[in-house]
Amino acid sequence: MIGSQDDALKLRLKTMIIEECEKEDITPEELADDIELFSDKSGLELDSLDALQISMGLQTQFKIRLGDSKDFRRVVTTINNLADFVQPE
Amino acid sequence: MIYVHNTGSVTRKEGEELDVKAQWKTISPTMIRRTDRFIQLALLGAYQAIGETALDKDTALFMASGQGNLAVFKRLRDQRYIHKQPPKPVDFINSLSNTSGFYVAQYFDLHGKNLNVSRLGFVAEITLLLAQNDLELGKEDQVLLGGVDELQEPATFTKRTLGISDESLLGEGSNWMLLSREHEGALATIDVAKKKMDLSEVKAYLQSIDPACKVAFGFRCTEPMIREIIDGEERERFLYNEACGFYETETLYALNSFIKEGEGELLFINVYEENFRVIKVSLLPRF
Repeated sequence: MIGSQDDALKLRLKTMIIEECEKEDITPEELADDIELFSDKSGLELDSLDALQISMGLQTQFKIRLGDSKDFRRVVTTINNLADFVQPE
Repeated sequence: MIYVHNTGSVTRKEGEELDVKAQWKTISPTMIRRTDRFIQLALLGAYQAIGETALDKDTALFMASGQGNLAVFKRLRDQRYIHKQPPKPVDFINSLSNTSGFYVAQYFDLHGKNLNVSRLGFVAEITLLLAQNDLELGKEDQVLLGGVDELQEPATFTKRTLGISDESLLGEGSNWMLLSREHEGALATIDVAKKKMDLSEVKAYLQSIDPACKVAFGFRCTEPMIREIIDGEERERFLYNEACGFYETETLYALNSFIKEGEGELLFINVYEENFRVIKVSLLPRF
């Protein structure tokens, strides 16, 4: 199953992002699947240090290593996009 | 001689609970993200001393710690050597020696000198001495000085590392004072002896001061050592030790406790590797 169709995977990704970025006032349910994570609309107010934390979280929890910041910007856009990258099929 | 204007302490000993994060969150819900317990402990103690008072932006910040932020160092070690991962960025930043000083300065909007002193033995005494020198030389007008140490488990290993007996209780604390050259409104004066002393010198020093001056001893002073120093004198002891376990910066807890609860004068004597250092506190009339 492609990642964006896998609710359990998306919940794990949202939980990881919230934990890594210490955004405890936001619940995974509040984080929409198709919202740009690094936009004002997400309500997360993420910055470059959060990007590094998420990158580390992907590496430790999902064994996904993103080579550089260009890869990160391509992959970590929305939860759906990230889920599809983590689980392509 | 320097003047103490505010004091504040947070302390606990082995076996007691202290939810630092919850307490700090009630004070500053916005400055909690990316801070760890050591940083929160520093912030909480400094807040106890200063509260919502606006400090002069040029106030210097001197922070002492015996162990520093050892918990984050242990996390980094585990990430690197056990989990074979690079350090998490926030942990790496928090492992830098003066990150907690940065957060305290940011909270109180301080832009002056920001000094971090970390060493085993006399760390509070040395930091107070540096503040005393800067104030006496006119390099600083005001110094916010604190000592922060976090209790590390397992206690038996920590006691061995710190060189204290297995029977002693460990503690942790964040003790702060606002120091200045300004006499008006001060709670007490502090005079840190500049030189280390040996046993005979500290005995002579004690005999030379007012018999009404109370005396307190650091945790590393053993009872036989204390009996040798007092040497039959009828001097009253200020027993602060029951409320706090051992940590390197407990000196500041003793001084703050005396300023809060004591009367008259106190000579605080500490020892490390057979050298002694003394600090004299004199309370000023309160109006």
